[in-house]
Amino acid sequence: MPRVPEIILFYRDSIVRSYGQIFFSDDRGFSVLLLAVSFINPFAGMSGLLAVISVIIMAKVMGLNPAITRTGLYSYNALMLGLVMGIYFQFSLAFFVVLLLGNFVTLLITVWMAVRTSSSKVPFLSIPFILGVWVVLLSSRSLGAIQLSERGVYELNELWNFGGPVLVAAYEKINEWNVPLAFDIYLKSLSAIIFQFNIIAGSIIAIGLLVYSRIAFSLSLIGFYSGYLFCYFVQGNISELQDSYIGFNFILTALGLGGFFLVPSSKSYLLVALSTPLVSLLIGALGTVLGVYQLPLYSLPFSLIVIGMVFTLNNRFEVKGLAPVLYQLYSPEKNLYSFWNQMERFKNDTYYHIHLPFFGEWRMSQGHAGGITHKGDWRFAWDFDIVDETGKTYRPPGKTTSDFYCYGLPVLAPAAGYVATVVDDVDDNEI
Amino acid sequence: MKKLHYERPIIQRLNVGVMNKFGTKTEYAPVTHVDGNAVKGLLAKYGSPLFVISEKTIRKTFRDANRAFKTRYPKVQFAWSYKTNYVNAVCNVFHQEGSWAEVVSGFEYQKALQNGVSGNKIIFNGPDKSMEELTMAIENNSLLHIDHLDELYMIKELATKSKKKPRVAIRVNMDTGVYPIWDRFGFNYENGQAWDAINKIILNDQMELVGLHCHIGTFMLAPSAYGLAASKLSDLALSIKKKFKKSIQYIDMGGGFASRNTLKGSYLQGMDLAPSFDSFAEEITTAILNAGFAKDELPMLVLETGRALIDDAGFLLGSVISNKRLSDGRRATILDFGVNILFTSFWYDHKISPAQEFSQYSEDSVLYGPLCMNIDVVRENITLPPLKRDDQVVVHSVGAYNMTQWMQFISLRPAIVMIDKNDKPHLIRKRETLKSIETEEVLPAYLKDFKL
Amino acid sequence: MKINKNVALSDSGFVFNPSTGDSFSTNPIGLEIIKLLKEGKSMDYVKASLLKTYTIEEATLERDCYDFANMLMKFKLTEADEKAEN
Repeated sequence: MPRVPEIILFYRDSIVRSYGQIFFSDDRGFSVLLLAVSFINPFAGMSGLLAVISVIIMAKVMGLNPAITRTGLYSYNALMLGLVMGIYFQFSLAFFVVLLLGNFVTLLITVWMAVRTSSSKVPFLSIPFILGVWVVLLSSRSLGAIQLSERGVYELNELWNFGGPVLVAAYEKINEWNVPLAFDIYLKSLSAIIFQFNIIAGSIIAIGLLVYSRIAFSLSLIGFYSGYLFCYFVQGNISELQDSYIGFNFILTALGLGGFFLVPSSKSYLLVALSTPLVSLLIGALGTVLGVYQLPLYSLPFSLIVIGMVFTLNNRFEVKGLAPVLYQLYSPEKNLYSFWNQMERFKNDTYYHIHLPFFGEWRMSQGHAGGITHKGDWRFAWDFDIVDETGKTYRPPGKTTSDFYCYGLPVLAPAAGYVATVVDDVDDNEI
Repeated sequence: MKKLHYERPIIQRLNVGVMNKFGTKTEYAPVTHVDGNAVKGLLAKYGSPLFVISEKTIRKTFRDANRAFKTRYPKVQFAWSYKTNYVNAVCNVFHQEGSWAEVVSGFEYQKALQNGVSGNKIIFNGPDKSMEELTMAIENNSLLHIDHLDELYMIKELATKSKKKPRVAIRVNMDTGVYPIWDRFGFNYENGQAWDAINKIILNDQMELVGLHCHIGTFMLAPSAYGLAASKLSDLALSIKKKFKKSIQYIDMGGGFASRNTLKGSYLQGMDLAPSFDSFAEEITTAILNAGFAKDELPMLVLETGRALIDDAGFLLGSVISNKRLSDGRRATILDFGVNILFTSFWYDHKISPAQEFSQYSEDSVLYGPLCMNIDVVRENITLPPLKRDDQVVVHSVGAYNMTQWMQFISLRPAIVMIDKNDKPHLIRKRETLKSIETEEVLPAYLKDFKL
Repeated sequence: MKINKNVALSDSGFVFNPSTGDSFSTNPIGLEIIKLLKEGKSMDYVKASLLKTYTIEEATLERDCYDFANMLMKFKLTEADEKAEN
């Protein structure tokens, strides 16, 4: 079988993996599934795919690191931009030009953020997409050539145009399914992540998620419902949740915190359940502010909360409980197994176990940079002695060395080792 | 004109050329206060004589001992020896400092339980343990230190009836270079009896052998004996590990450390002779650490020290009843306490200090107690300044054994007071009354009446 | 009672009897008593004097002086042919 040219592989990977990136996955099957699902709304799908391809070409032309492009990191924000634009605008030449330009802007922002955040090990998530989409939306209001699409309004007509009565009947049948409301919203919110707002897309994605990662699937449920329940509890705008499917923020938060940036554990699940209320609050808050400018929220709440959380967790003084993922394997299961493996193999190597060199209770009489003698080359030394309740280091009268409590006590090796030299000709100090 | 302080006239012949070995200066300084409390005041309030215990001294001594061992060995546990002093207040001071309890009889065991010590922290020693006592101890998960084979079989029998597996240790006696060997207690190491008993226990599997115990003597002045004992016990433990793959949890070195009292017949003062806790600790811990245990299998070191921890914290305050001149010209002073409440005067020449100021003049005296028994001698020969009736004295280092071995004989037993960390006295045992003597007596009816 | 004429006294309480070669040590009160006796005063005079000077009950003083006098006799510091007067 002839070797497939490298360039084809490059494009295949870059394109396909852009879809997976949105779900924190690099699983090719799942990504292809997402690609296919994105075409359930064919305009969104086409626009999205076009955006991805164009950005990959831009990245190659500009000379960006092809290895990174290949992971889809530079293009997933553009993908989202393309999907959104495909839904909301009429296809026209002007549209495509603006799409390309918008993608370019998004790419610039992406690259800038990627470099800026890589040093602090903090992700940029979909911030470039949001900024890009705002640029496009705000500018498009003053661009006459760009028309808002009216597609959503006449759904059935569209379907008829597309697939005839069969499709319409099928569509109606599906709508009649008595799916419980809570589950219905979950599936639709799931589909909203790639800007498809129907239950079919949601179901397919759900199944795909379940196959790709059970942990991710369970996280998506926990994330969504914890946020949903919180909304219910504080009697927030549930209807808004239902109409705009903004609940997908909860799902993405769960995927990010529960198994991507942190090793999955009961604590990471708990963190998810505690974070989704934060996301919910942010949805309300940002929604109000942005509503003034008529700008959409999309995945801004999720991005901000997850970035904030990851930043805080990476700057812990003591890393206890929630384990950060040090080497990303793009799958919660893989992250978890790798973590367990490391713990088993290297648990004693993470910190070298050093003991204090004595039994019982001693006092450190001079420590780091002690100022008395611990200066210069000796500034990291530790001195130890023993004191009694009155604070004296000796039994009265304290005239001989043996009057001092610490004289003659055993001294232990702080760790296992070999005897390098023996020095035994130093006289005792005089008192 | 203000009158001067009176002191009885004395005249003493000076013996040239012979050093007076009893005339050391240390006996001379007056002790007017104990822990900030005036002797006069205490005696006035609580009666004479009076035992006084200094809580500060207990805690300091305990912490010194603890430190001596803990800085030499990773796992150390003290167990307070109840037979040394089982006044509840004293025991609880030790428990507060982290001590377990070590008891040698049924009533001591009950005392420990009632004080609040949990069963699994009570060590039950002694050759006389009844079936009931053993049953109770097994139920409470206490540590049984087996003294003889009959006891071993008793426990075996009880183990079959109980749901709990008795946790036992055996007491081992051995030659440690001191005389006499206490081979009446426990199983002998040299003739193989100890190994035999160990095998019986482990192969039987109805009891769990958790420790090895030895108690090599009392008032030991030679720490090296302990070192030898520790290494022999360690050998046993390692042999057990080798044969049965079983680790012993603890090695109990018992008690027996000397206090600073001077033994009768001793040329040197006790203060100069008694080895420090550090020297005992050095011997014992070095022996165990060098025995060859694997690093994480070092057994816990248990110590049942009694006398050395409490002796110096106890004082006996008393008063002078009268003076006499004996037939050979020696002065005799009669005090209101004698061997009835100062049992240890049979073994020690206690340091006795006057409780009031005096001049430097002194005379050789003999001190008697209040009993009308000829053996009631507190000190046969002591140099003291002239004392008169109602003068007060302080006897040092009486904390051990006096408050458990005192006699209910002729005199009512005195009160015991403990002075706390803030120098405040607390009554911890009331002075006995006639009722205390008669409370268990039963007079048969036919003896009630009589005509004289 | 009379103290032997040869007995030497020092102010620090040192007593020396040249006839026997013995030396003794006594306390201030004892020294006072011996001095008074050496001066020729009687025991009654000594007791009265002490009663005035020191805080002591007569009974105790009586006993102690009796005892002290016996000691003096025993140590042969007194003149042998004199009887002790009470």
